[in-house]
Amino acid sequence: MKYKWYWKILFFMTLASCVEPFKPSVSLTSINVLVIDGFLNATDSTIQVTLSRAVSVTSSDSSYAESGAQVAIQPDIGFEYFLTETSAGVYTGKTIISPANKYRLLVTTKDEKKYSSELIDILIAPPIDSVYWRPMPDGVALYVDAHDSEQATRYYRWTYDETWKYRTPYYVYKKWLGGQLIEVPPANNICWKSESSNEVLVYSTQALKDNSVSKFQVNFLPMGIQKLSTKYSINLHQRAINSNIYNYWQQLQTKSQNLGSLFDVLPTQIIGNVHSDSDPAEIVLGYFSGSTVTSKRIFIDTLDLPHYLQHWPEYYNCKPDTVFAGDLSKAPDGTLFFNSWNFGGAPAGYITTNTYCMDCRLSGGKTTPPSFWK
Amino acid sequence: MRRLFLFLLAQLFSVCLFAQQQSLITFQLSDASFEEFVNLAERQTQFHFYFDRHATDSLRVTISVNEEPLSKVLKQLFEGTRFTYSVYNKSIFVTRGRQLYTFLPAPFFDGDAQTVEEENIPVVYSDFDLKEQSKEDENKVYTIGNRLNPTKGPATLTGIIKNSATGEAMVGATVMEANTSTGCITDPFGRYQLMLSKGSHTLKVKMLGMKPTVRHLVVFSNGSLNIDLTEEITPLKEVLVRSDKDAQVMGLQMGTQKLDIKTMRQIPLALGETDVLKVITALPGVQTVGEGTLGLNVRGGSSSQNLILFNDAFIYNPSHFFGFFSTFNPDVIKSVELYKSGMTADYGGRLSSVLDIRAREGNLKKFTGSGGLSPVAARLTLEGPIVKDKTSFLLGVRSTYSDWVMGKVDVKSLKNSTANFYDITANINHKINENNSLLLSAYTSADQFRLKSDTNYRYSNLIASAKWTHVFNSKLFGYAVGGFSQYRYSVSGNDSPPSAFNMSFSIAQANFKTDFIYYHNNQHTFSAGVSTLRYFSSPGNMQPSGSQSSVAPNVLQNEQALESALYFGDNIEVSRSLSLYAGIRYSSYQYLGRKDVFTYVPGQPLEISNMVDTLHYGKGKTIANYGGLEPRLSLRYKLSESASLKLSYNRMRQYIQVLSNTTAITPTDIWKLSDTYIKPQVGDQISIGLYKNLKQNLIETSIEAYMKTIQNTIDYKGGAQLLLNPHIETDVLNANGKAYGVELLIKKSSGKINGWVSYTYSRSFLKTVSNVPIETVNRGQYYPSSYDKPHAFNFIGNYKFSRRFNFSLNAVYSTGRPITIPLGTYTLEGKTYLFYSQRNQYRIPDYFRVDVSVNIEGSHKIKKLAHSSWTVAVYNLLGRHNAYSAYYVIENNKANGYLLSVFAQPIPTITYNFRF
Repeated sequence: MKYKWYWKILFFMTLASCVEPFKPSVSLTSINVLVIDGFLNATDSTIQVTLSRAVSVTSSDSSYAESGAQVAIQPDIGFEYFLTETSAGVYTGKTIISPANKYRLLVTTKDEKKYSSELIDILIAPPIDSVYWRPMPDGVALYVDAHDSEQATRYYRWTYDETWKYRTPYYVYKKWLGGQLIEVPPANNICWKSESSNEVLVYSTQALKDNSVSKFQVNFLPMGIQKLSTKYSINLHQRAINSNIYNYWQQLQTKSQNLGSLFDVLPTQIIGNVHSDSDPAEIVLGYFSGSTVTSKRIFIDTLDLPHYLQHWPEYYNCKPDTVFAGDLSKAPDGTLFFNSWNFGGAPAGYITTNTYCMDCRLSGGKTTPPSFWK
Repeated sequence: MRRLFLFLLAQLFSVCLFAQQQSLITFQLSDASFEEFVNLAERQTQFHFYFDRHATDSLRVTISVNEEPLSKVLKQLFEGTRFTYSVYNKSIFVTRGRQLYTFLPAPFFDGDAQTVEEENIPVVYSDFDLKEQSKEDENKVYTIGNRLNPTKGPATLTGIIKNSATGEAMVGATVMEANTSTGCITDPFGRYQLMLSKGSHTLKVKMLGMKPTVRHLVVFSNGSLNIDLTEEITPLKEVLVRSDKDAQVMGLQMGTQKLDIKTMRQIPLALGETDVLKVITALPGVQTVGEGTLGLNVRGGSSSQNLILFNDAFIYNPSHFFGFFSTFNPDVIKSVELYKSGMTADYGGRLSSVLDIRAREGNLKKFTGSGGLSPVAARLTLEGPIVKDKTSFLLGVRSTYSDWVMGKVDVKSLKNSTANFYDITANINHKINENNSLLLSAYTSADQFRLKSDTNYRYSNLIASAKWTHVFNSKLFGYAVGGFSQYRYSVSGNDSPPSAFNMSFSIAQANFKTDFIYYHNNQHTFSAGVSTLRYFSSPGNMQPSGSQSSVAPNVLQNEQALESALYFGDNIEVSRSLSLYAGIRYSSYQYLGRKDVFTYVPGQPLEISNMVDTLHYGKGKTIANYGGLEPRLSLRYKLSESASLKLSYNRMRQYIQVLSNTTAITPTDIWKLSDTYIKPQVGDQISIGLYKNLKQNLIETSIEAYMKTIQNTIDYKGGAQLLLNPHIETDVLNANGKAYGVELLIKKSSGKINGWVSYTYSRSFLKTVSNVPIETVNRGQYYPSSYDKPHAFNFIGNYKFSRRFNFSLNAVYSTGRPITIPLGTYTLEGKTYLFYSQRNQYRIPDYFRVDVSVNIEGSHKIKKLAHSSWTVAVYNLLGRHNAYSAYYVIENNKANGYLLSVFAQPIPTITYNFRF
């Protein structure tokens, strides 16, 4: 969480502040607000629209998908194109998106309510100049440089996908199974894991002399995390946005970081470019936009990091444990061993540890490298 | 009464006799008894002494005289003792403590009309201290005017009320005839003028912070009487609110509270600094949005609707440290007066209130100083005469040493943080002559802070004013005030060299005002004046900082405007029970070029997409013109000698707005002049009050109710861009406000226990007006403003254990302030966001706090080198976790609410004050 100056002021002034949970009695238990999130990717011609409903603070659910809606995009010239619901509340399609056209999103929910977006332009994203990293005292910062020589946009938005490789400290070689100690090939000790960004990264060069993005921080990898354990890759996607979209995301961002100080901007409902056609007063959340997307991938090998960043405490608590040969029968079925020690030429004990320290899949990764991995 | 006159007459005659019968004496005495001295003296002169042997047995006489008059010898002998003597024929009466009067005053037989002043009374040799002296004055009977004049009809009594210690004219003292309750208030030279019937009268003179006094007089014709007031000896007696006790009932003004600095010093505060604005918030009808904020919300008005005047000059930002302190050094303040309603026509420019803060004038007689140390700041004030009794200066400096504290506190999060402030007040008071005086006043305050980040904030106030007071004659006087006020701030960011910037804002005003007050007769006092005010604003200036910066300069066009006003008022004493103030003010405002103004499609919402043209206005050309009448009316009807009913109506116009979409005022808010699209605010208030004093004015009670409407205030579209926005009209909405409330106050001003209890019920609402429903806040319905706190209760109590110890206790309760909370959450692109309720539909928990403090005075020897006092206070004694704010954080895709309490535990402080 980003600290702001006034918190420090408060802290300094008093050293007596205190924070307690707050649960005001909200009488409303259900809220019925549609959230429309749509993006036209003019580069790979994909369309994805996600429909969901806001969830009451008193509810324990995290989100409600809005299924069974009819979703279409309508170019200013041409015919409507209908999307198909590929998973609950997610409507996708693939069709040529032309930057020469303008598009509108049309939604009819299963309760027969009609919603639409404003007509949007397909914006042209300039190529990414470079994505690079710099070591910091407490981690690695990733930056982007970009500019638009066409001067088509001064507003940028980035999303990214991260993939990283990691290893368990111990490799399995034997397994106790069905009363027998069987030899197993080393496996499940190298994994790859992927994540997509959920931070909203927008930037405007409107206040700058040149339309160039210089050293904009897109991500920060704190020292000691799994991502920095072996090798890390980020694929940064750049979209062009306009001032409305920029303001929309900017506001959402400031609201999501609202710390309730009296110096915070008064919260308001942030309304995007979608609205209800059935009831103009109905609040509809979300934004529909379209752009070409440019991408750039980089890799960071842990060995290229400064020495102080090459540490990874995740498996520090993996304590080897010996099972004497004579006690093997007492070991639970499926116990894995990564080593043994001999006494008088014969294995006298087998060394095991927490399975988590030998099987990387238990940390959430997959053992097959993604196609782009090198 | 007749006997008294004879007595006074005799007194006069005896002086003459004594002078003619000078007898010279010669003797030497060493450590003799008084009796021995008397024997010697009686032998050498024809006088016979009358004295009390027991009373004089402690008096030892060591004296050596050679052919000296007896009067001189006696004077020498009794110097420094409590003995006095009186002479009657051949007798000398020696008394202790009280003089025996053996004669009558001159005018009794003496034909020519002489004004009797104290100087004309024979000199009394005594060791009476000042207080007793004034008590003696109170027992005298003064004869005013020529006794030969007809004994019927009115006579005018004039005079000057002064501070006996500093010679300072007592402005605003009440001089009142005790029986008829006719009275007046002293003018800027401390002058008063009263129309009295001929005959005997008792004058009561009262003044905030001064010991009230009385004068008995017999009026024969026009004449004058000067009266000296002694200060309520400050280290001994600290009395709470001591404004003229019956003014509350008898005065015309309603919705007013006057506090003196001594009152404020007793109220325990969070960080040990006496703070005038914080004390103001303990009064009924005044609220703030939170503990660490200074914006005053008076009767449901926003914090930018207060006219905060410091020696007649406007202060834009009266806060240090983002509102933890006010910028006024307590040592230089004389009084603070708050007008919540019934503003007279000479005030204008803000809707909600007038807060009139006056600095003291420097001591005209001697050089003195005062100062103090609190946990966060140190202050020193020096004052004294430049030319004795004519010109004096006062200089007050206050500064924090928080940087030093921060350096000592080894907290990692405070590394690379700095926070500083200082304020300086200086004034020069010059009495040109009896009819003219000049007050030059200057003030500056500055704040700077940088907290761990690379962003540096600075803001400062600068004001200067010159006030010339002129008395034309005993019926007419006037003021002319010229002033300059400036507020500026800058934010500089050096996060990374390419984006390093420096953003600044400034607003300044130069103003001139002149007022005339004409005392026509007891029925009418007229006042009239003109004022003009020129605004200059640089609403935003963004510049790159450093050679590597790629920040493009962005400078908003300067704004300028002219605000002028003309007013006239009449205080009418319709009958003994009914008095009335009727005033009218006409204000006029011009928004001036040079400036480019955007135009929009007529009838369409003001949006960028509807922008059609840019009009260029040349330098000094009027872009927008507003103005209108502002009627002011107050009425007082006396129900009985101790009760009255008052009514008032006033309309105010405000031509400047603050752009701020935060709950509290911040130093980086933008002051915006009314322009083509942002209309001036108009406020109307009707109030009614009932006032009743109990127990000979010892206890004041009042109930006031008010109703208020505000037009053309500002609200904001969701996510409005306020900073560096050249077309701010596209981001703001027009809003109207309404407020109403009832205020109850019970106040005991003196006695061992004093203080006040108040309860306020008040509501305050806003409603946005827009053509586009989605843009309006809460669908264009009235919603509670951020400072709508329906119930507020204040208790301020002070108990004097002894002259050196007094104990104060505050209790404050108020309903929690309205907040907007999330009703739900929603997910966009994998991230959870908050879905907010309509604005201000929920509240933070109620606020309750108890503070205590003990004042310990040093010893009370008058001739000590320096007087000091200690204040030990505990703020939030109960350690209650009063919510400062509520906020929501998304954790595991759920919105969790938290309350933050700023002063969540008892905060003890010690403050040291000294005077020399």
